[in-house]
Order: sequence, then structure tokens, then C-alpha cells
Amino acid sequence: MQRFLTLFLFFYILSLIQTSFLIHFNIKGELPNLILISVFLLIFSENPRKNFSFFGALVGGFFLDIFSNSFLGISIITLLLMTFLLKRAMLILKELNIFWFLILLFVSINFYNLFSNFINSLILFKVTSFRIDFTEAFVVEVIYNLILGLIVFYLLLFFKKYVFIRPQKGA
Amino acid sequence: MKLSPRKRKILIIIIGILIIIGFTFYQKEVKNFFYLISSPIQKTLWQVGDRVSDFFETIAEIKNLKKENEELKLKNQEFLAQIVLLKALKKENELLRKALEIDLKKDFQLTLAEVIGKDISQDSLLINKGLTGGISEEMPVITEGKVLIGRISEPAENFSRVLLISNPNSSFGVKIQEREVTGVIKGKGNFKLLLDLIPKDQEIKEGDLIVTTSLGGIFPKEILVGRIQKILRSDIKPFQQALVSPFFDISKLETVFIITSY
Repeated sequence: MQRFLTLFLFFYILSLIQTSFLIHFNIKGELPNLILISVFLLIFSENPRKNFSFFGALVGGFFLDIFSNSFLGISIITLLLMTFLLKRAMLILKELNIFWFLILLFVSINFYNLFSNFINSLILFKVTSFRIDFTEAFVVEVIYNLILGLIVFYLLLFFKKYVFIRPQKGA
Repeated sequence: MKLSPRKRKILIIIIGILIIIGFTFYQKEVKNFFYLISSPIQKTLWQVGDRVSDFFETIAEIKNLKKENEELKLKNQEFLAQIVLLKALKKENELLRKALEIDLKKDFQLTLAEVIGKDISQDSLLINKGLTGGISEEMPVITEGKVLIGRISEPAENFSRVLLISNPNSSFGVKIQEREVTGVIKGKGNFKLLLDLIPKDQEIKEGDLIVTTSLGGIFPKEILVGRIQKILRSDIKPFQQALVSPFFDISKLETVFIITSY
């Protein structure tokens, strides 16, 4: 129960940071999606057969919907589907390394953007307005997210190695 | 009663779906609740972010400071000469400001609101006035300088979402000031605007001012929208198009006026 509550609070704080603090650090009007990156890292660091990251996707999606213009439920469904697909992919891939980390993060960012936009246009009955634009903003957004994801990934590795795992006595 | 892991999973999924459906029906109330409890934290985080970004900008600028200092010394001398002129202009400016304020109040009934959140990826703002403050959907939002920002798209109890004119879902009738050429402004996202449906025989120039028309009844007429940045001419398209840079600066928006009646 405690870790569910911690994750809920964590995503709430992340969404506040994203909508107020991080605005000042936009590049060409684009920002990294902290919640998407966090959900991805949660999935990537978890055993593919465990299901805790589904809760992360649910809460993360909830806060993304709350603090955005979209309908409540769109980000939740998108992130839950993304979690399911990523877990399947991780079961197929034998070895997960930094290369696969970047590939899967790249796919996840684009899947989230395209799928949530598609569902949004479906709800608004504007399917014809849905299109994929490979603009400068698109490139900036992807690179910004990948760089931040990579930094957090290495930070987590560092903490896991030197902070959380302490050498046993007499070892 | 003990459930098998498979049945338990299905039960959790069903409960989850029911919760999402429930929230969707009450999404305005749910969003309002979170905005209400989050606004003090968001305000603090906003101020902290502003200071931190200012600090980093200063560090990035240190390299150029020496060169800039020399340039500034030269400019200082030029400015000294202009001070005398500016003093006279200041007086005139104050008079005009007062006139503008009176003009705004004379033309419209306004409500002042503070900006408490900006969703730049979706070209929208969050302001601290909602249904209880007399705000309703589709009300125009402007700056103190009579510059159009957008319209209310999602009023909640104590907060409202403002859809910026640059949002892809925004389009409205405009005219080019002093030319009487009418067209349509469409939001292109990322604070970009496109002026469309300008007949080919009409002359437009870069730098032309765009103002609203009362056509369509969305916005009051003669509100500043932006300036033509680049004209896009095409032999295939039946109309002229142009990129327009909006007058409002999202990073400097802290207070806005909502036109409650015009």
C-alpha cells in the first residue's frame, strides 16, 4: 500500500513540476514529458512478468489528463497500452541494454504522442484533422525526451550501484 | 471468498475501467479539485523556475558580458541624448495609457485573472477565475494592451482553461488594419498563426497589423491579433496565406482580462 501511495504522490509532484517549473526550460516551445519518461523507466527497470508498472501507467496517465486539455482517460488508456506492449517487447528481447533502452524510449514517446492525439481526434469527431507532422518541434521534443531519459537512467544506475546496495560486512 | 490471480486481475481491470468512466463523467469537478489544491504549489514552483532559468541565462551570458559592456558604454552616450526627448514622450505616454485603460473599460466589461499554469505543448493557459467568478465558455481573453490571447474553453468552478489563438482548434475572422482586407486566422500550434483565405487580388505586406472582426461573433472587433511575418504565395492555391506572429508573449503573461460582456 505504501509504495502505491508513494507512486501516486511522486506522479502528482512530477505533474506540478512539469506544468509550472519546467515551462521556463522549454526549447523551441517543447518540453520533456517527465511522467512518460518515469512510467517508461518503471517498466524498463521492472521484471516483465510483474505488474506494478501498470499501476504507474494508470496514475501517470491520470495526472497527465488532469493537467492537460485532453479528455480524462486518454493518457491513461495510452500509457496502459504502452505498458502492455513494452512488457511484451521486453519478454521477446533477450538482452536489455542501453541500445534497446533508447530504441524503446523513442518508440514509446512517439506511440504516446500519436495514439493519444488519434484518440483525442476520434472523440472530437475530427479524425480527418489527425496527421503526422515531422516538424522541427517534433525532432526537438524527441531529442529533449531522449536526453532526459538517458540522464535519469544513468542516475538510477549510479544510485542502485553506490547508494542502495551497500557491501555486506566481511565481504 | 478467495479469487484466483486471473480473476483478481480481471476484477482490478473492471474496477479501473469503472473508475475512469466515473471520472470522465465528473471530469470538470475532478480537474477543478486538483487545480484548487495545486495552485499554491504551482505558483511557488513557477516563481522558483523563473528564478532558476534567470540564473542559468546569466551564466550563459557571462562570455559576452565584456563585449556587451563596451557596446553599452557607447549606447549610453546615445541614450543620454535621447533622455531629454523621452521625458517629453513620457508625459504623452502616461496620458495615452490612461486613455487606453478608460477605452478598455468603456468598450467591454472585464474581469481580471491571474495565470497559474501554462500548457505550452497544447497552446493553453490555466487562469484562477472560473464559473463562480462569472466566467463562461467562449469568453474572449485579452491583455491590458488590448491584445487577443484566446478564449475560455473549459471553465471549472474556480479555474478556467484558456485556449490560445495559436491552438490548432482555433480559427476566427480577421482583417488587415488600414487595408480592409478580410481573412481567417488559424492556430498552427506552438504559438504559430496562419492567415488564410485572403483573395489573390488583394495586396498584403509583411509587417501588416491583423485585428479581429466581429464576423462569427467569437471575438469583439478591432482587437490586436498579430503582425504578418511571411507571405506564402502559391500558384496552386486559390487564396493567399501568410505566417503571423502573435503579439502576446507567453513567457511574460501573468495577468489577463476576460471580456465578460461586449
